[in-house]
Amino acid sequence: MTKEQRLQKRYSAEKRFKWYGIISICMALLFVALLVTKVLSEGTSAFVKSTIEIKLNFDQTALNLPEKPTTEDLNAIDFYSFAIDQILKTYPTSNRDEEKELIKLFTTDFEFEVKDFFLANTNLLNQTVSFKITASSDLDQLHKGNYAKNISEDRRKISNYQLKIYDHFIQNNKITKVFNVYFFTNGDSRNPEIAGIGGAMLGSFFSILVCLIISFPIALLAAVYLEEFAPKNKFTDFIEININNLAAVPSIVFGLLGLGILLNVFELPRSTSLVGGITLALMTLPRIIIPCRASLKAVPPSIREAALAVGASKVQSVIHHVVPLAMPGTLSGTIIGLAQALGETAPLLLIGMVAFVVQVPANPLDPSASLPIQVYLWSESAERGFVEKTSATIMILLGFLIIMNSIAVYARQKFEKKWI
Amino acid sequence: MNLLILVFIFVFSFSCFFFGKSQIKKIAAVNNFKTKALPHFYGFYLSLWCALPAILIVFLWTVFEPFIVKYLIISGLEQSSLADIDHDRLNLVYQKIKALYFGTYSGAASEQIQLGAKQYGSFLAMAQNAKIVLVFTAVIGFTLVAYKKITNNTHAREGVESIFKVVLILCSVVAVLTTAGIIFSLLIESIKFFSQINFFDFLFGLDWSPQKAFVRDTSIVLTASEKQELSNAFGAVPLFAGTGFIALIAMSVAVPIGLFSAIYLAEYAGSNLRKFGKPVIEVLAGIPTVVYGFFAALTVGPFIKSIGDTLGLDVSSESALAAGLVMGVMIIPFVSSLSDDVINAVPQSLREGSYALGATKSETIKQVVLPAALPGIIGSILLAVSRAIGETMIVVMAAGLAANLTINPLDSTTTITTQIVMILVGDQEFTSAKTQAAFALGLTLFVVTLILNFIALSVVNKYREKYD
Amino acid sequence: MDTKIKIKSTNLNVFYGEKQALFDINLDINQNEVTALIGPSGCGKSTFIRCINRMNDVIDICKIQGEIEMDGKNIYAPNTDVVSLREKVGMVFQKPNPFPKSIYDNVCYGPKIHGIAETKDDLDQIVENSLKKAALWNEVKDRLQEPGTSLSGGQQQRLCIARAISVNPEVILMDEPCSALDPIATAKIEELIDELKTTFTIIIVTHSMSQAVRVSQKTGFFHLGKLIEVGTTEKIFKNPTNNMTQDYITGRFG
Repeated sequence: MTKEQRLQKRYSAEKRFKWYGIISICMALLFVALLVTKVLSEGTSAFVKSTIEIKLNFDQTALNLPEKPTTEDLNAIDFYSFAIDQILKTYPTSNRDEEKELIKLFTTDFEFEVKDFFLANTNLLNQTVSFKITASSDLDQLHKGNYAKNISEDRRKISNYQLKIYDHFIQNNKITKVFNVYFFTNGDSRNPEIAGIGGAMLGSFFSILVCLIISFPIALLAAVYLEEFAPKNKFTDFIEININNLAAVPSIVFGLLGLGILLNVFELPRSTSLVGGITLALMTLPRIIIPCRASLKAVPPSIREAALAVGASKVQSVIHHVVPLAMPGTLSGTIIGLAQALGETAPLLLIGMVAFVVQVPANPLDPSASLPIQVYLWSESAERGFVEKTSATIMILLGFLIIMNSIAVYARQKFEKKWI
Repeated sequence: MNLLILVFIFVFSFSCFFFGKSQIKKIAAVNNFKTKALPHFYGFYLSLWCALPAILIVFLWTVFEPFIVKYLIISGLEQSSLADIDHDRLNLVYQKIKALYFGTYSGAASEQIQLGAKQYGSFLAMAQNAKIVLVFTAVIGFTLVAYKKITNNTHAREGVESIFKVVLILCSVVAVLTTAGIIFSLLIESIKFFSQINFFDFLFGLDWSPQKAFVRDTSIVLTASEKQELSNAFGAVPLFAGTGFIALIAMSVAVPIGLFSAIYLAEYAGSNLRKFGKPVIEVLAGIPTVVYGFFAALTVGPFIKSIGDTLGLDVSSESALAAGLVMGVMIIPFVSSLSDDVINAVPQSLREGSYALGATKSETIKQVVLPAALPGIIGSILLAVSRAIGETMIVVMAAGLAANLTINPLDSTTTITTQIVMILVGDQEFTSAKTQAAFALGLTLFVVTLILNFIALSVVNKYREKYD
Repeated sequence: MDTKIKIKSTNLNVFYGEKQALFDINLDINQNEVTALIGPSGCGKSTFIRCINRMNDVIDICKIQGEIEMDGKNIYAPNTDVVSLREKVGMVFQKPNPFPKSIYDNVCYGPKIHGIAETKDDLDQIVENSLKKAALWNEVKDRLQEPGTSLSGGQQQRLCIARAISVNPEVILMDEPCSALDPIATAKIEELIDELKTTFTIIIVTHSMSQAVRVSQKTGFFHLGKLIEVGTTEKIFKNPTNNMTQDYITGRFG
């Protein structure tokens, strides 16, 4: 091999090696891009829902109301029959079967939509208005184009007759997409069209709140102790090793801790965000202590010496000077820790936050789900209507995480002093 | 009720602050001496002594009250006609009594349970009264003692600061208590589990079918052969193998990609690309695992299956490959960011020494930088392995439930974490061997990851010391 | 002995970003001689020798204008192969930087990557010769497999010299090679430099004027990025033309 050939070979090896790096980075980027594309393309449609316009004639006799209706009278109205009646009047059918198929195109909750609308607008008595009722999930998916129409009738959930009605809706401009408020306000449901993440969002909020209240003060004080006061001895070393290892313990083990201690020994209420929050707090604690210590360490000793030199006690120098200066770092560490806790699923599964909860929780003692749990629950569900909801929930979850992490980065860059 | 007590404590302690502050000024003026600390420290001193012991009492009382009440009720039951029934049944009766008291009991309650509920109510009332009395005494007592000290012009700042330090120490002990709690909760159930199931059958058994434990009524005494059969149903080898297998697939994705990205970012990339590339890779670490699981189960899994189908291969819809690949992507940043750190820590002088001999960049990296950074890189890989083993959501959603002992990546396998979730999600009778098996698995997982982390952290720390 | 010019720098300017580090350096280096570069810290002498084997290429913000010719060829010409250049121009650094490998591997690294040795025996021979030339062989011949970092500072630096001469370069650059060493180790290295100059052209950057006097035939004085004066060592130290040189060598500044 001549010298030139050898050199040539070495240079091509160099080029190859460099390309391995480029390809690796591109693969990582590609995955992020794929994930984002999938979630965005699937999820955005969940923020709107299809509605069908019907004519509502709030006729006094049809509603079975006396001349001057009291609240009791209003609550006693049989809205179910009334709503069906009105639907059939708007879209006449020829037999019972057709009637049933037509009704199935509306959400199962249609009577409550009509009821809420009327009770909020009682002045509409004896008037006729057009009103948009939420469509059933199947019709919604059909309208959003997520539904294969070209397969044989027995293999799809929408019959030929229902397709005909759908075409009628389209031709007469009766079916419209509106912003899906239910998605943000409702709890979970078996019916995709009225299922929402309101309950999960509140559940997540409560557990993160509990987590914050418990973990931040304890973590900060523990970090202050270890960094400023702890003597160098075996016990301190033990605590340090303990914290470092605890930060790397798999999250599911914390779930077992929550189940074994919080639920079984202390008999705290199952499935609640209180227990979820405590479990997450125990998990997050070491992950906050580590950045807190780092930012305390970054405060130069000269600050402490300056405070001590004017006669402040050690405690005063720490509380008055070191901790405030380390605040940006500790806060951003805390927010990043909380963001991790927000995305955590496994420990919550074990303490029963995976239960099917329709009710939106009012406080941390109510059973609830959380955002990642909702993703898990819906992604396991077979219904076509839940697919877009899963992706949309991921969008919301990632949105919160992006906001939290941006705040953390901003806090660090904006307020952190650079020590020279 | 606790809330009311706490509010009372806070209000009282708040007023104690001002009382102590003004009082010391007055005393100092009357007796004409100089206080040893600033007046507000006397206020703090008084209010802390008034509040902290009382809060501690409330906390401990709240934690231990249920145990004591339960003990009282159950010992009462034991003395009555039910003396002969076993502990689990007594527990059940106790739950019924509680349910009746809180009005969540459905169906007709027996006389005994009604009596118990009445008793339960009276115990609760008694406990509450006792608590209030105790808290009041504590508040008044400690405040008086502290006040006495103030009037003697004790050094209040030192007093306050030593209380502060005690609080600090308590906070840093919480992490130790958490570890103790983990070990305690895992051990208690695991010991129960291993009292029924032979330890070696668990560790080396090849068949995992915990549903067999459900067939039996726990009250029936098992024959020796039945016992053996039960023991044979909990062979965890398929789980260990599945966990290791999926982790292996994940590492074979994460190590090359993570390492090469780290090398490229540390050695080749310009500062701009570095500034952009590093955070983007770290985004992968910020994505919740449930999102990866979703992606694995609904995109990667079906994709692999469709490729396999066109190639005529038999692919399970929940394949080890899908879970492993996606888990690998999740782990990339764990490998890359730590490796990046250790590569950067290799002194520049070594690189220059190599360049000066006429080595190309890749030769320098392969033969000088990487060998020098090797301990740190191995540490980062070990940490990543421990991540992979403990990862739950991806495998729960994408890896399957059947405990197959297989090395075919297209087949479905199950893992330790999947089985823990599958066993414990939903309502379970807590005495069943199956439930306890989950804790035994958790203990295995905890021990293995702890060992991995410990080795990894000490390797990385040693490495850091070498170049610092 | 008639001297041949080995390296010739013409109007060399070097910039680190906005800051200019070297101004119009014109300097000839003679073959088989030791050329010493002296001057206060930060004067650009290290920058200059790092230009000769293009080590500055590693630094992103470094820009170079002008020419350095080696054997009549511009090393900054676009068709110059940096790897081959560095094979011909070895370098020894301020602080000993043995690779974290065995002593043997440290020395055979260069020959291996350049494919100089065909067989294991050739490689053994090169290692032995290089270590002998670096006056280290007798001290390490029994422990070639021990890590290079286990040696003492002076031995490490001689190992680095052995490493540099293992690829049989034409020029050796030495960037303050003795600054991290004790006097005894320094004396050994200086002795070694004297011997090496029969085979190699040596450029040495040094802080110590006595060292320059002891080892070099030619001396250049740098100040604030400019080459103030250059001439035979004898002339520079006995009879400098420039006042600044005079001040520096008499210790009035620097």
